[in-house]
Amino acid sequence: MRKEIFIAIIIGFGLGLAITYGIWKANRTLQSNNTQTIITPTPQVQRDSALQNTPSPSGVILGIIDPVDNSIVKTENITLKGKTTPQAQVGILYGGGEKIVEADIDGNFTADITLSGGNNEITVTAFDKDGNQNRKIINVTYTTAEI
Amino acid sequence: MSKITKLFFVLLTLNFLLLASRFPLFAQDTTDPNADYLRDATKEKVRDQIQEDSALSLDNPKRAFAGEIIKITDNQVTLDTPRLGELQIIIPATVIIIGQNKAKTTFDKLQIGDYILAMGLLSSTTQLEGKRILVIDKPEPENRSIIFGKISDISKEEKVLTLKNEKRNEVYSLEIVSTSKMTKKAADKVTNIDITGLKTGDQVLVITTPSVNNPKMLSVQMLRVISAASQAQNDSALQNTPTP
Repeated sequence: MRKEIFIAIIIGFGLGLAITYGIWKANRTLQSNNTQTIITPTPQVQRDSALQNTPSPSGVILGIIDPVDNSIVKTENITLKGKTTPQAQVGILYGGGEKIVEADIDGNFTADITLSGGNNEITVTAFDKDGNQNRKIINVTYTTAEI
Repeated sequence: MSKITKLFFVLLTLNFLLLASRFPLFAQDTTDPNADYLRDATKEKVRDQIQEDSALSLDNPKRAFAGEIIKITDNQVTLDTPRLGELQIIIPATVIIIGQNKAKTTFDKLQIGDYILAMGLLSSTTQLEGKRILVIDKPEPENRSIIFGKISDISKEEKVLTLKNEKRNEVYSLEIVSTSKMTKKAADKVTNIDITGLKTGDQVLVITTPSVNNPKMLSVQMLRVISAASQAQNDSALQNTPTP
């Protein structure tokens, strides 16, 4: 009886090892295929084309990092900072004027803005090179009064 | 089934589970440029949402909201703000209220329909503790617009451009006036240009106002040539090139 159990354990262990080796081999083959994808250089044009063809969930990305919407500032001159699609054209409308700036390759953009006293509505619209657009509006209050 | 057979299957299953779990299945391929792009887009979307949410964040509670008074109670007013909807403004005894005549006034002088700029400390996402309140004129709606398109026609004598936005299937007539500021970006340098520097096919971004002389026309406030005619055509050709 003990001998039979011992044989069963050995056979079970052997079969387990064989199956595990099979799984390990299959995983290794998959890994090797994926490593090849990393090494293969992707031509820039192809990559750009792929990006253009990828449907963006909401068109052009646009976020205003600073100043925060409905914030209060104590200085007349501020720098508006935002992030959008790389190299997008950004039009900015504010009480004291308007600006057109271009986002850098990372999508960052800045614009120096002169505020009027009180409430200032700032409209920021970003366009990618295909004409897709996104718009954000923020309000910033300029006051020297202590709040 | 004999005990040995049962034991055999139990051991076989144990071996399989223990050893196979040593090698997890390979994860999703993350090197696909489309996947990278979508991941980045999602990150941006989240960042954008955080930025929007931070408008009502309590980290820096000093905020100002403009809106119309729609309700007044003993110590608070309800504002209807253009983009955030209703907001409660608590009016403590120490609040400073400035009327439209720039003179100090009192809480009881505020009326439903007044447009105010309420500055104070945000105490919750829908409540502001008022510190300073200004009664102001209701702001005029923005009459400027930003348009994007390709120049399809130029009349240099009349100083009129026709701009076509193919994406929106819209055509605009733009007049160039003496105050129009026009620039072109070439080799990372922005230079001033006049109408002679514009060509049919140029891709432009324009900030306009309604024309004083012609209601069907827009006046150019600011124009930027984004991509010159030949470059725009090249970009277009590049986009149409099928990916191998």
